[in-house]
Amino acid sequence: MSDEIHNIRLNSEQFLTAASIAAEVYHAVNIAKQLSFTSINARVLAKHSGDTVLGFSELTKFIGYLATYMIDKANLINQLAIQLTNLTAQLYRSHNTLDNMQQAERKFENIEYIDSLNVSKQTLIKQIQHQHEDYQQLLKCLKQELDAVYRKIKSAELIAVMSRIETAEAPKNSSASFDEVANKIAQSGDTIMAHISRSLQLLSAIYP
Amino acid sequence: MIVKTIFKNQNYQWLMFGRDLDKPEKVIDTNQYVVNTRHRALLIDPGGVELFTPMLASILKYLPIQKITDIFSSHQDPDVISSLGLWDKTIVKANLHAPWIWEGFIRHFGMDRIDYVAVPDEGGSIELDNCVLQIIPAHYLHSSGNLHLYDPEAKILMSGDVGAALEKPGEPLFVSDFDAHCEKMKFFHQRWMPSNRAKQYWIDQVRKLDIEILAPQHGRLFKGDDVARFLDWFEALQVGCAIPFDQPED
Repeated sequence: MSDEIHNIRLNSEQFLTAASIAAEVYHAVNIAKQLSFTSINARVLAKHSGDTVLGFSELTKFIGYLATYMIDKANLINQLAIQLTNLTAQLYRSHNTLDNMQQAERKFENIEYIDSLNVSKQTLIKQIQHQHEDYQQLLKCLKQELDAVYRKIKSAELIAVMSRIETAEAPKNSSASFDEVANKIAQSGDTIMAHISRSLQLLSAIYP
Repeated sequence: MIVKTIFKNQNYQWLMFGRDLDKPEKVIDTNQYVVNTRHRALLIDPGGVELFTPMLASILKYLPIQKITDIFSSHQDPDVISSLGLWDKTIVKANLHAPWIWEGFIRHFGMDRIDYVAVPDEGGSIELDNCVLQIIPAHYLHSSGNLHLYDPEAKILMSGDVGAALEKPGEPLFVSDFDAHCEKMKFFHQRWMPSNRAKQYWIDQVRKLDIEILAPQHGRLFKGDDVARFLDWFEALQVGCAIPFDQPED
């Protein structure tokens, strides 16, 4: 049983990963918040530009939805990352205690009551196994949530293209403003996508 | 790590643990104590993380782990209690008696199974089988919430950082030349202890106790007449030396 425990050892990468993912998601959320403002401004602009940009107006609604979705999901991912960091610290403390117990057994001689540690050791080993199961479960949830966000943000690429098509229909006096909105949507989508991709890449190092 | 029985009668014993020659060089040497009664044991100032393994091995030479039902922490410093998170996973069930003001701080070392018994400012007591230990307030010596432990039967006062000395590894356990020892205590007390008023109040209270052994958390222990010598020396010493002495304390 003890050998199995050693196979689920933690390393510094695991400590850093959850925190790094949380940081990436935090940056993505900031962009999503900007995107949300962009969608509101774009909707006002579309309203003033009349029927020629009706399609654009519909797109802004979807951009707003996408930004809200991103912010909600990011909160969930952040909670998972915090849970993961806490669990990693607990696992580290459990492993550390077990190591110290085993060192006491190995390094020192004539310890009359060494067997009295057996109950604590067995309890600790079971605890490590449970913590490890919870750890794997959390990694799985994190992966699912990041994948879901990634797929959703992918659709922003399509929106960016569509918004460019729609801006072609815009009145000449406001076409520059529509171009700017379309560019912002494209840029924001790319940046959010980059942060989520990095999160998935980080996660793959500890959850292949 | 050296283990020394500093008191023993038919009901219980006081064990002192220290002088660990394998400890990392820059980690301050500490004295740990265990009061081992018939069915229970109290671990006093269990020490830092770096000391956990030798402490565990040394304790298990004298008693099974299940006997440790109580832990006492004189204050919140890492050399006193940073091993708590490891003991928490090793000891089956125990109470930690520590100053109430440090509960939220000490819990940062990790506590799941051990219960925190918040000792009020006026002190209290710990009962182990028929042995009753008195918790003596020693606030601002040096920590703002600081407690000492007095055993009226063994006549031992575990005095935390009061009486501490900075010494080389492997020094003897008891003071043998008091005058020579003063030099090793002087800076520690002047720099770590912040208040002359707190110092005098503690001395006045402690002089009322019948003490045979004064057992600090660092350095050598004082026995017999050296206890009174120490109290006189400490009384005459100005503490709080990081502030110029010509500044009024209050």
